[in-house]
Amino acid sequence: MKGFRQTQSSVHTWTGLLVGWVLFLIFINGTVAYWREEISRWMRPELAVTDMVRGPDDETRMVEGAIAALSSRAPDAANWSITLPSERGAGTLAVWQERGQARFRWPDAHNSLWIGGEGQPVAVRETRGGDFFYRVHFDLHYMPVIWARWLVGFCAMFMLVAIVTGIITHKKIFRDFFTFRPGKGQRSWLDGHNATAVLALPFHLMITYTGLITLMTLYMPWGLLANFSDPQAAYAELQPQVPEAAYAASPTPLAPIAPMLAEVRRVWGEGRIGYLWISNPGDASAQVTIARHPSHNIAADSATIIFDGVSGRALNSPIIDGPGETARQVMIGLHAGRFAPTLLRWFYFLSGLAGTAMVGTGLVMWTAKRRDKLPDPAKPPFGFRLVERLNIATVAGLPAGMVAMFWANRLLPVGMEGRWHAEVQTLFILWGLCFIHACLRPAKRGWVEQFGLGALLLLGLPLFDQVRGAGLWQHLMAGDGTRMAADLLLLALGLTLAAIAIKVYRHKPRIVARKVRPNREAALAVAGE
Amino acid sequence: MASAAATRTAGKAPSRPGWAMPLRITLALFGTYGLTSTSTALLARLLPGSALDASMVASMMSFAIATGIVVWIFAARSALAVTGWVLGLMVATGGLFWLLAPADIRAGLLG
Repeated sequence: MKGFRQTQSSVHTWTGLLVGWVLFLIFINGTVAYWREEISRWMRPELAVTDMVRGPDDETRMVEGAIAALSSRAPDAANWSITLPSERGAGTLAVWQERGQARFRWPDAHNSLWIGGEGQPVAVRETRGGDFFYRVHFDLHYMPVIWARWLVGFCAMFMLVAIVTGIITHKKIFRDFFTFRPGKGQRSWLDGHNATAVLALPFHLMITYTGLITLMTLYMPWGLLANFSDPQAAYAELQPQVPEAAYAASPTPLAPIAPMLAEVRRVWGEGRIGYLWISNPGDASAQVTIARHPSHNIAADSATIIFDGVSGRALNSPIIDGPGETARQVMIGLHAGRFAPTLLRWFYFLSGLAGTAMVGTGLVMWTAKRRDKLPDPAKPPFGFRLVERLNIATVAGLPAGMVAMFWANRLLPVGMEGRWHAEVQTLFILWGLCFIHACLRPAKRGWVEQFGLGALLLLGLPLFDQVRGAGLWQHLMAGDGTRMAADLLLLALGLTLAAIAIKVYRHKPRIVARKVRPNREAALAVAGE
Repeated sequence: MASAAATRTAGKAPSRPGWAMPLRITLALFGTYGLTSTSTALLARLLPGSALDASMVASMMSFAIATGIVVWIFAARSALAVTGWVLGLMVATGGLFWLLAPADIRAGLLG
């Protein structure tokens, strides 16, 4: 059995290292994305607590407001889409696509507008909001989506192998969980890695496996292709398709939307309305597709009801999914956690942080383990230095870059052209600078300065908002618990990073030749989260 | 490579040829995907329930199958033997699937 465990240990080390940096990015952004709608609220301060949805009347008012605004702003559009907020978000997004115009990827100031709680248009700064973290978590950035998804899937598969081989390597999994040996250099790193890994082990397994399932028809299409010569037709069995009517070029007013919303609520019973798609609005061929809000239950189903846009008559009946398809939807629902109420959402977030720390401590352990064995610790070989620098720039630099995006959201001119691009570029520019910085500074300095930068950026945000006159105090007065919690969480995360930076800075290695020890404190602090 | 060195010092096997670890890694990357694909396709035909449900369950199981194959590839004593097993099983499961698949499915797979 010893040989078996040892080979699995090597597999664990090398699969973990090779994809560790990408996994760190996936994990930290996915974790942050559990607050996607809260972050969107923070990044769109123009939308107030009064722009949240509290009941069916709010929904109807906002949808009617959106249709009125779209009718005047883009009466001849090829299609309109209306996205309603969940209980956690604020404001309804109304998007249009002009006839003959190429499909765009993201709504911006030229093709979308925001609707507030009274159905009124609200001028909102152009930002990706929390959606950025959600998308970058599997689509990455600056590369075609399909490549990104394959790369992320490849890394996720490595992660699954690393978890399973990690469990095999770990012969005393329960005893080790209660073992923490601070001040023992590499041992402490190992204990920190074990604690963050085992504490949330069911979560790590679940999140990696279900993450693969979200894109399984891309990675493993053979299951579908084994039974369907045309995979698109696989779903047609469940729900007879309603063909999109061809543009008739005969102006006809759209039927009132309120009765359609009432019909959807009658068929589905409880649950919010999430999304409307109106094709050929204002034409005789108009159709209205209404989808339930994805937060309505654990299964991420894609049930829609389609209406004739002129008569207002329903054209299809809701689908009934079989057990296999339902299982897939539940897996995706478990991953995305859209159903999760506040307390469970905190557990998702904290488990995600533990996963981020697990990847981070695992990466640092690779260097900690090898530093003692270096022939000349003062002049490590290139590979070792590369791993060390990438570790600093990823584990300490990426969080700083993410916070820099929040600063760009506050500091860039509100009406700026291409504003959301500039916000996103701020993240990547600062992250790139962090890598250059990590290459130029001694390792310990690099850790301290980059964690310190992240801490300052985080702590400054709530203070900046308060000085501007739209901070904690104002949120308290407005009874806006979400915005208050966001400011407090920013402060808490800033203090955590500051504590890590100070501990690394203060640490004096007992044996000068062993540079492992400064890093040990960082593991402690990260593991302590 | 350090991984090969670790394996050599820890395992009981006296000496391993230099190509064994590269072979295992190549097999873990490509053989795993191949055998997982054929097994998933075969499972999708054999599982009960509607065609869509069987396809979905088989696809969901594929990642567990792949993980098991990787563990097996690195745990096996002989790199050469495990290569033979993986390739053999790939042909067996793929072949059985081909026999069970109706003509239109085969045509679809051939493009």
